[in-house]
Amino acid sequence: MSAPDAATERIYSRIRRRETTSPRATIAIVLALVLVLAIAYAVTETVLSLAGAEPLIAAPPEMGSAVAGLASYDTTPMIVGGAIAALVGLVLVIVALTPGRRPRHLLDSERVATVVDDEVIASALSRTAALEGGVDPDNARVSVSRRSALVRLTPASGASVPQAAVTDAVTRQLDGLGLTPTPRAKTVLDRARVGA
Amino acid sequence: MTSTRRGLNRLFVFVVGLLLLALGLGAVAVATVPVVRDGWSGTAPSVQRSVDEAHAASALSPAVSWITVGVIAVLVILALLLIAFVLKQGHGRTGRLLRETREGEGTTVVDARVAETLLQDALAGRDELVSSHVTTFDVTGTPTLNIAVTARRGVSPRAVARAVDEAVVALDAVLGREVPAYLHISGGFRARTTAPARVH
Repeated sequence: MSAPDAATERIYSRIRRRETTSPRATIAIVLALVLVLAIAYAVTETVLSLAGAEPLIAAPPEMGSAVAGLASYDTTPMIVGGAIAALVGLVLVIVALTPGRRPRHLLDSERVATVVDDEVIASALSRTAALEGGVDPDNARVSVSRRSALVRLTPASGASVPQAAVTDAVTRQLDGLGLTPTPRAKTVLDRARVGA
Repeated sequence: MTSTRRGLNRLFVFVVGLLLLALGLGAVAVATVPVVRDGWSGTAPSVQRSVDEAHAASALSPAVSWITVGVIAVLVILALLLIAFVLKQGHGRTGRLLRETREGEGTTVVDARVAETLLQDALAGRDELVSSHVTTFDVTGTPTLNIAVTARRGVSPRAVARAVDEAVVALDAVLGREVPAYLHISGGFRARTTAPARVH
């Protein structure tokens, strides 16, 4: 096995970037379809008006007058409507500019560009934590985010859980996985329960 | 892995967002700022009048003007472009893995199915995996294997990566070439509904 050549490395870095961020496809498709519907409506209204038929809602010349007379309307609905439109627009601009990270991590690997879902990492850590803490696997819950791995253990009442040892074991396992970025382990003990 | 043009998606969302933001703020400004309000009532009717005049000047018949025909044409073209934009999303699968031409020896073509089947067979017997699925995508002109596996609950992703790495290296030996490969290790529904891995 040899390290990938430059061309392959380029493909790998493209894949790593694309597979850990959102394509923003859903929102783009929804917006495009809404626009297509709006255009279909505008064309229908124009053709109806050309044919001299009754408009569906308003003929284009009436729409023009309505927009021209905007300043004469009641201000409250305009403020509310305008604010809603501006807010939606702002959200769209933010969505377009933020990376939209997916809940995944890169995993170092020689031959294959590898990406792991965070829930897979969590389930592997959860087993280690349960074993090290001496609790039932059902009472160890781990949530993994980009930079942290939070272990929650529910001890059986009367049993003591070596909290630091659990954190150490989880940290060791995280280091061994070779994730980018490596999450930091943290352990939290819930209130002990009888029969837990 | 797909050839979706993400920059275009983001640009499109950005432009629509900016338009909505401008329209919304504009409406609020007309409603609340007296200067804007007066400006609007002062200017809008005359703009509307010039639009009407333009229609009259380019009349094709009493009811139809060239401007109307042009507007309809532009709208239809825009709608077709938007539909094409939607249909372009998520493509990029390819059926060919390798193609090599040597002087005087002809051309060798390796179907993507060969690698996909070999890898899937190699991974089928692995205890760490619930399932695996291999497809081939064209990534900027280079066929690339897309290996999607579902890991069994509790299994170390490093062990899964090692298993797949070995299978791919074995494939390299069969093909005599190193084809780029991408591995995605997922949990998901099937991992949750099948038995967790046993500690031995």
